[in-house]
Amino acid sequence: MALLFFSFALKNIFRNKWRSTFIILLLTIGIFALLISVTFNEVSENLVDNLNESMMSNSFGNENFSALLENYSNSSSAANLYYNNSDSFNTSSFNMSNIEDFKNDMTKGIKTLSFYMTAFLVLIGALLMMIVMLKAVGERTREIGVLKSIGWTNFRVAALILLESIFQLLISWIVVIVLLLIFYLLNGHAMSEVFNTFHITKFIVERIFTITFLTSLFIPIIGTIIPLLKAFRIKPSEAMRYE
Amino acid sequence: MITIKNLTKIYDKGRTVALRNIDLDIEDTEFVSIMGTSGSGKSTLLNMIGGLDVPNEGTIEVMGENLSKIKLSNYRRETLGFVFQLHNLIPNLTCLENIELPLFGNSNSSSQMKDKAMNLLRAVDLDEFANKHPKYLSGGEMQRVAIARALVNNPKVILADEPTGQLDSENSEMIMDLLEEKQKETNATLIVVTHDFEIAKRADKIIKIRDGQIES
Repeated sequence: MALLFFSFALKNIFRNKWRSTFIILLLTIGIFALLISVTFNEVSENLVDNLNESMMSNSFGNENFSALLENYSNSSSAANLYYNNSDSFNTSSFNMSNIEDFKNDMTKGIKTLSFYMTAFLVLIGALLMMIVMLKAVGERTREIGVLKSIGWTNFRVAALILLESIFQLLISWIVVIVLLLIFYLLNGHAMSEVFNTFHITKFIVERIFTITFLTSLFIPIIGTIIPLLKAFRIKPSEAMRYE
Repeated sequence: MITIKNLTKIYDKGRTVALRNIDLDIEDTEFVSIMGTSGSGKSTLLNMIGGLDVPNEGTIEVMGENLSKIKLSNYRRETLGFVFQLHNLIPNLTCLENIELPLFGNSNSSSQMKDKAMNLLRAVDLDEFANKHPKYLSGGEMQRVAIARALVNNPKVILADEPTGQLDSENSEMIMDLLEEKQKETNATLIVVTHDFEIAKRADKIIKIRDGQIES
């Protein structure tokens, strides 16, 4: 009987709820893509910052750079010009550090803003999923009334509808993972290069998956539970009059 | 036996009295029709007997069990078979699956459920539509599937709320013949709500309701 129950849930998704499943799939992909793009952006910015910093700190200590300077000092007047103007350089270095501080503050501000914007967009995506679920379950109030009128308990109705919602979310997740696998199979080598270059660690990937999973699972489930609770409170005779 | 005592139902925070002090006895295996104009309270009475709604006052006892003291979902599944005016079949399920629905919660295996549902589809002459969805059926055929669904748990009481309300006279006749036939076969009590006297006069007893009260 449990098997029949599962098959009812799956059939209902493919016969009736494929539109909402498709919307949820698109939103899941959207959230996932947004998090990936933000993470890559953040990681690449950090990488560029690190490179800049190391270049700045090593500009006069770096062996290659010193060697380069030595060559210049021996062969041209450029080095003389540099050494002669060293006082003026020291004076301007004060201004440079101010500019650096300002730049760092700006970068920090933009990063914070970017974090909140991303969080906001992810939340909007999850809320859209919730609305899709709210509408999909709300439309079934009459059906819930019919099921209750033929002897189904609230628990059994909730099990069927929650099962359908979980299946819908799982379908979205399976499609996302399959798409990623296909992409990896086609571009595996290039992706490994990207991962190595940008220092994308297992932790970062896990973080993206966890945030997407939590937002695209729990918030839509809340969107399923709210109309369910409402449908349970009303009597079957009222639910069946629902249009 | 169904015993109703002093049944009152009030809607809209006291503004609408749907049923007022109803007292009624219905014997086992009896065929009763409830007649009345629209808004007289006949469907409300049927919903109360069917445990789809609860009264504000009074008691309903079905085969010695007070409905306010039992689990209504079990009562609806084990004792009742409900036929609605608008068939109320689940459109995404096939006819066979619709008939299987009330069997969930009983200790039936999937194959037993399928066999029972199939036997009933044969009984209402619709076995060829087993794997079709309700949208491919005519109004009369959908109502026959709804009757099969109502009978699948061998109910002791069959409640029908205007079962022929959406049908032409030919189909109405056929549906009522089917309901009566199944009632006699299963020795169930049949209560039919209707505003059509031609349907009502087939019953052993006619109860007329007006403004929430029994007229005769």
